[in-house]
Amino acid sequence: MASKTKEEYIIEVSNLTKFYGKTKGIENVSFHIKEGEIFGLMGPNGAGKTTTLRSMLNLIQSNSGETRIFSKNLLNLSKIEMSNISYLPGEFEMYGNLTGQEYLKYLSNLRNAKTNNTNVLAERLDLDLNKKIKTLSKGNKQKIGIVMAFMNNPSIAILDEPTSGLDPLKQQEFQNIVKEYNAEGCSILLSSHILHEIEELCERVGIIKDGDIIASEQILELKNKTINKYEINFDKNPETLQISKIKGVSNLNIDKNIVTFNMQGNIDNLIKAISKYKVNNLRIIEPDLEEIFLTYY
Amino acid sequence: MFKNVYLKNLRDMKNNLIYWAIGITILGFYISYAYSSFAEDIDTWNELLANFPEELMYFFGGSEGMDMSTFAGFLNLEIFGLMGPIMLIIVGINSGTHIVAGELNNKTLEMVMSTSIGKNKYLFQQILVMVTRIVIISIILWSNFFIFANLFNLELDLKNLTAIVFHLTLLSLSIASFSLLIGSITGNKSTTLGLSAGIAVLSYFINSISPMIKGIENIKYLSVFYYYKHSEPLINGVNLESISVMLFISLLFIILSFVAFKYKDLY
Repeated sequence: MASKTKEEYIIEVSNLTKFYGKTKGIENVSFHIKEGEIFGLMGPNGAGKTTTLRSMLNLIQSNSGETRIFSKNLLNLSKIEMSNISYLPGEFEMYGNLTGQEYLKYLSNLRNAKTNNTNVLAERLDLDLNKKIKTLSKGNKQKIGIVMAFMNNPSIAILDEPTSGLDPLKQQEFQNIVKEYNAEGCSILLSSHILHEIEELCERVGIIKDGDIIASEQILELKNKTINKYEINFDKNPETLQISKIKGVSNLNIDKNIVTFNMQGNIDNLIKAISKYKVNNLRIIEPDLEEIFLTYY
Repeated sequence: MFKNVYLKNLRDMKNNLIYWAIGITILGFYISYAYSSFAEDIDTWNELLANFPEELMYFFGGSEGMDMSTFAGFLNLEIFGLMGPIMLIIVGINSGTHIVAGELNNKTLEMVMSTSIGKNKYLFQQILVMVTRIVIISIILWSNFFIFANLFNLELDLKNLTAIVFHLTLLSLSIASFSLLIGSITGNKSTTLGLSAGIAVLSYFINSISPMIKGIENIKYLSVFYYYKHSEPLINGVNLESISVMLFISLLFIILSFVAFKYKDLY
């Protein structure tokens, strides 16, 4: 049963470890991505996101661990399988003497790609591909990177800080592109420290800290595990209500009719307890991903 | 021109080759014209040369073949003694350094290597680019002296001109391969350029001083310049032994580069 589940993973990273000399890059990083999933890799700068992606793709030599893509060790992938994987590095430069069109054509040829959506994607991102790359702004260079990532209809797109330097409108367009390609079957690994982007796009997320994956789960589950803030406005002071005895409650504060507290976990007991009283208003303040993220740091 | 790494880089070197061609043509014209204009006073030049200390002559690239009474002897002194090797070594070091260290320095390699090309194929095509560049510049040098010798009616053995240019090509290839290896190991452009230039100068220095100091003559065998010039190819033609050594050195460095590049972190 377990092996059957494994086969469903389009990417499986196991115990990937990379030391730069004596300095730890990442250690025993493991996660998996299911086919058609958008997985977020979240962490601040220097946490090990880029090292993870580079080690996965064998662009840097990991000390130990394995990356399996399409159920095969990365090193055993055929040229055709490799050409179905696109990678947008976080920090990259292009050949300034080429135009965007020439550069993308070059990369497309190196991939032996059969399909090419360059012009459609460039139009959506409002990108002029006829200008020399050296004349382009940082944002426009990033757009070329995004076009590169999706132009050949990849089965897997690995994106490292893909919206760096993009204006908010183009960030939105990028999100639309990601959703569309994902809907067509492209599995996506998105590394970012922009939390609302991860929250908007990803189903599951891995949180990386100091080179270790410290959490890897569904964003919804991650939110369920976190502490919500509650504010209940009773019709009159609920003197006999013993909220503090409910499992998961903390920071209780009762101010006449208004009771505020933090609570983690299932709210069934809370609902049962307060149902005996008349409630004027119940407010649940969910933490956003940023607050959840900060609890790990 | 964007079909593969080889063609793309061939396109990129177009302007560079044009500048080299212009420079070499001006040099070729100047040298040939200069020789033709003082050819009549050649005995005076030879007397002057004969009075030069032998040590100084070694420093200018050799002792034999410095006969100014022939155009070949003049080229041996003026071009193939120092200026030609300097030019071709610059080409070699630049070409070899660019492949890994240069691309890493420019941060352009990660994107290319993230395609399905693979390290071996990338390196193989880039080495072809390196060899092509060295060969083209060597051919430009060869054709210049061939054309200008004919233009100014100067006697020059075509076979021997081909021989010295061939030796020079292999000298350049040896240094280029060394640069490629250092670049593949360090990934650092300035280290690669510095170390390659340092080794080239040291090699020249070893070849120049070894005949002058008794007891250390044999260190000349460590110098790639020895294999380039000791047999005086412009006078005596191709020396198979020297060519074999330079080819072996180049091949060894290239094979080691494949190994180093395989394990090189590309960032």
